[in-house]
Amino acid sequence: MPAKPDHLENRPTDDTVTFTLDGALRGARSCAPIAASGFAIGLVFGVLARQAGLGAAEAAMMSALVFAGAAQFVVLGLWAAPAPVATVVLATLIVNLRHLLMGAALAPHFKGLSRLKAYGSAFFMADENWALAMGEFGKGHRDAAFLIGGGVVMCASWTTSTLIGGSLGNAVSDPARWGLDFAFTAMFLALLCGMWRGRRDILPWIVAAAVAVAAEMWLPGQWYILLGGLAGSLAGVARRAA
Amino acid sequence: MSNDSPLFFVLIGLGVYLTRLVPLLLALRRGAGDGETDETPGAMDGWLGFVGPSVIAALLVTAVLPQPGQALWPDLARTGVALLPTVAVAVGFKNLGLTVLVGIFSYGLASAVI
Repeated sequence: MPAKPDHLENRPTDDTVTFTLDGALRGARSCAPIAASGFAIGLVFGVLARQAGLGAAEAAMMSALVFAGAAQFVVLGLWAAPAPVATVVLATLIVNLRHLLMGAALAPHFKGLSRLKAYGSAFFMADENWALAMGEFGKGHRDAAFLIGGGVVMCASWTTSTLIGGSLGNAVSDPARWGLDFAFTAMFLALLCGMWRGRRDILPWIVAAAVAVAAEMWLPGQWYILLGGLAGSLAGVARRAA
Repeated sequence: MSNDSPLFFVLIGLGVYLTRLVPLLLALRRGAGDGETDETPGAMDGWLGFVGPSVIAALLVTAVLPQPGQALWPDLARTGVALLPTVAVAVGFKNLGLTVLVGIFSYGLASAVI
């Protein structure tokens, strides 16, 4: 019998998907450093939410209900009175379209789970714990609770820090003076760097940026998000097909 | 902000949740769980893979540009100075929290000087 490759040697041989407390705790421990990093961003989000006119409890409620950092920053960027409901909901959905791919990629590792466990796990799926979980599954571990364990820790950290930041919000009289206005830019920059897949991304990103700038200059409202996103993604598809 | 905000957040949260749940359920129902591959369906991969980054690129470039009413050159200078270390950290470490903190610190420092 030929020897197994090294990366398969230590894989569990039983392919049955489990969902145990032990797996959840392992996920929580793995995500703890990331949750600590997210705590700082949550503080910034809370401060900015307060500056945008939300109460601390409202901001914390948003963090608990939405649990999606990028989407929530987008909401704040578009927040106005009265709230542009359709624009905000559509923009947050588009920003989170990457979740369509991430959710689908989880399917092989969630086979056989009850609906309750799958539904609950999906709520706590964020970029970071998803990436860690995929790494865990790639090593052959089959405990699907790893994802929700990490997600619960991250969500608790995110919501708590938002509440604290929101409570401090009014104490920060001029966010620009403290550099907080730049948090959006840095956040988008970090997200974009994490999405870099190679030179094939240059064209769609440039097209998206150019169309967004043109739309912001010549169109009212926040059409630049949708038009930039559509133009960039279509440019990417066209280039790949060429 | 308003008495409607809890409902508004529920609506946003529900939309975000569905983007997480629906593809998982569809893939499970279609039997994607039968294989060992992490690949997603080709049609989705073809277009959706570009949508998220394109939207973020649109948001980034409009966040960088000065808003109407702001002094153009001082604001561009502050942003340019702050971008240098922020880009370096974003590219070098690919760490969201660290990048945001460095960005805030850099822009705060640039605002104090320029």
